[in-house]
Amino acid sequence: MADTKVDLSTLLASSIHDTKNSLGMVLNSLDELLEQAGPDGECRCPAEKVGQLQYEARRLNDNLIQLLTIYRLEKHHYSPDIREWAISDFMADTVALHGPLLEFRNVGLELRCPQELHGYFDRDLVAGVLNNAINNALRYTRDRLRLSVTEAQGGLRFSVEDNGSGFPQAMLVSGSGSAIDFGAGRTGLGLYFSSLVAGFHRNGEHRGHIELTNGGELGGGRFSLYLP
Amino acid sequence: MAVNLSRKRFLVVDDFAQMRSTLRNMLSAYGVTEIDVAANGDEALQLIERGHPDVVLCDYNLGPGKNGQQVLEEAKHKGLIDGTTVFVMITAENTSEMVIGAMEYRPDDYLAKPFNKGLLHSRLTRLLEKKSDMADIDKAVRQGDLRQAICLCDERINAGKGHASEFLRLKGEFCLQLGDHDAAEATYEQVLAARRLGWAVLGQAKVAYLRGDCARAIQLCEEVIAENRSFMEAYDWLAKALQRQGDLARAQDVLSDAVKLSPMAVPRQRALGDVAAKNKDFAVAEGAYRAVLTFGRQSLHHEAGNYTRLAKALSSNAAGREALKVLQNLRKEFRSEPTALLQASLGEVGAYRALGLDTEAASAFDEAGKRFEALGGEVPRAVTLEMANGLLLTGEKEKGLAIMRSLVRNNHEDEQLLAEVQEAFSEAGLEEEGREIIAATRNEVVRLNNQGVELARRGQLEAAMQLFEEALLAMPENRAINLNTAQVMLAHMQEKGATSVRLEQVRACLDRVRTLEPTNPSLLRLAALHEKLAREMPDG
Repeated sequence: MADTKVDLSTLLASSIHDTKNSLGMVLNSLDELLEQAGPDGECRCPAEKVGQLQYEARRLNDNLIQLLTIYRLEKHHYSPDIREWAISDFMADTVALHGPLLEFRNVGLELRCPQELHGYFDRDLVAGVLNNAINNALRYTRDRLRLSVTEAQGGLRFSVEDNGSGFPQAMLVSGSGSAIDFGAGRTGLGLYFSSLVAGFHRNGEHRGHIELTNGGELGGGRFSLYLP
Repeated sequence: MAVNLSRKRFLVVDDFAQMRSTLRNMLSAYGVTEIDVAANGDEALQLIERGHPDVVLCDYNLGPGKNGQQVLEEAKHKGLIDGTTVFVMITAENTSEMVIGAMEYRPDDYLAKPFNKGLLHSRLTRLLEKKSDMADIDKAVRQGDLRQAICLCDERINAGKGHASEFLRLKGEFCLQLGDHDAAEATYEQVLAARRLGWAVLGQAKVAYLRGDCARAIQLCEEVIAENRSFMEAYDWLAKALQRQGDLARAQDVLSDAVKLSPMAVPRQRALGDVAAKNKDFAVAEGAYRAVLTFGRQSLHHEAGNYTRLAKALSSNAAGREALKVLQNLRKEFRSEPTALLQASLGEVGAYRALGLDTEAASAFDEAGKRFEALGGEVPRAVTLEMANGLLLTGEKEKGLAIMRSLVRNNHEDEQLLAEVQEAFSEAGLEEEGREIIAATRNEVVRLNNQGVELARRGQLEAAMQLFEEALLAMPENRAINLNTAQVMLAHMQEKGATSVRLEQVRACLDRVRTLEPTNPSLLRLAALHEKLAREMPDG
């Protein structure tokens, strides 16, 4: 289904590896907190740490949802529910979900989307793609993030841009998640999931796809999802 | 349009106390004060009935007992919630698993856990806005005025502000319900001209099926499934069209595929059982009917027939003893319901006969006969048919024929029932005689009805009234006779003045039609006339 066929078992192994790293980080933090518990039995914890825990927990959750959805899509157990949605409503949901964490991390969020734009897509699947891209951008951005939706190629383009140092060259070349890099936490799962979801959206002969680029107005990485 | 969440009444349903309090805290943060909580489905249904919440937030998984979908179906089926209530299904993951039922039993939205305060607020605000946006359409539907509902949809579609597909989808369904196939087809074409969407192609398939063009319906359904293998509703229509074409083997295959993808859909399992039984594939029928019992137990689909169908499949599959056990459970579970006990007796007749125990079969049939008499005609059609079938098979032919005639008289336009009656005749070795009886009885009703209509047309309202009143005694459930009785009586009252007795008779006729066919196009007009005359009565 994806343009570049990824070996699912490799993907699974690397995702488990990544998930374990995340969980390890969460468990260590919890251990530290417990060790620092005062005689009154109260744990005091810097808000920054809680924010980090929240971020890791969300990543874990997103990873698991992605794996489950990939499994369902491939087994035909998922019934895509393609409907017409008001883009401004859909993006309002996305901002509402991510707003608090972004604010907490002092990352400025900008939303650009025309009021009257409508599009046809599976809301849960596309939300999953955006969540993944936003979490990813949040890890690499300096302090700014921009979400935008525009009409493009006869369909829609959803973009998530940041002002970090951009995607590594290897990822730009392969484009679809074959660059697996344990160290940087890039497992390819998110990109594989995203291209699978993109490909599931069709309009006549046209299929959705994803695109990774660097530069743009914010100067960092830009993830784009095109839906026909 | 601003919606004030804080004034709304909420019901939170979740089996985990932690989740209940999380949701309650989120709602309190929006200023909501009226929040009921329920820990299981039964509690939820009680609170919905008592508290009439504006919004229900219900988890899909509720532990043992009903799940969220079953709560929703039962609440809607019993009329505890209507179109004005917002029902949000909270799910552990994405929604596909739950998209099993018919449109009318879908929640207003799904929300996948985990979500935060902000997302819930964003969703709730929008859902409530949408409800208030749709209030007039919903009201028209509740009043059975689908023409008006279609007009209101058209207003939205023509305003061209986007989101038209939602209203086109509704409009298509209303047109289908009204039997306006041309308008439905045009609606779906309008959608498809802009974009190929599965539900619109399926809409075209429904139109084709309803017009009797099964080949086209089959082709369209197959296209939908090829494009989206888990579009469950398409399997249902494909199987229906195949059955009508007489291709029962393929219909069974299609439904078998479908229940593999969605085993919990009770009506689909039942359809599979029915078609497999017709194919004499009793092993498959048994499996499907077992699934109906298991998955239907906590739902509004739980009924005596689920046991008798399974028992019948078992009896046919040389498992009479097991059939008797199933019927024993039926007796236990429905011990205070005379109709269910009648069904149990009829099932036992078949089981004993399969076991070669003719004496026991005869005494079970005796019991059935007594129960049938005691119920005095208040028996569902399917059970009546089974009773008549039993009478024909045991040689009590005249009694059996009398019941068959009455079934045909009351349902002379219902092709499906007439086919079942014919099948029962054939089973009793009375194929030809049955065919003649059905045709003759049917003609008799048509003639009587035409005669009444003709009298009314010539202005002989008294005579027409008398004729229809007599006809109604013989066929109290007949839709056409009920409608025409009401019509003639109303016309008579318009000329000669209303009486409370006649008004009451008309009301009873219209009520019966409403139960049989809520969207009957004549119903609305006659009900309005009835209401007008009732208002004008001197002493109210």
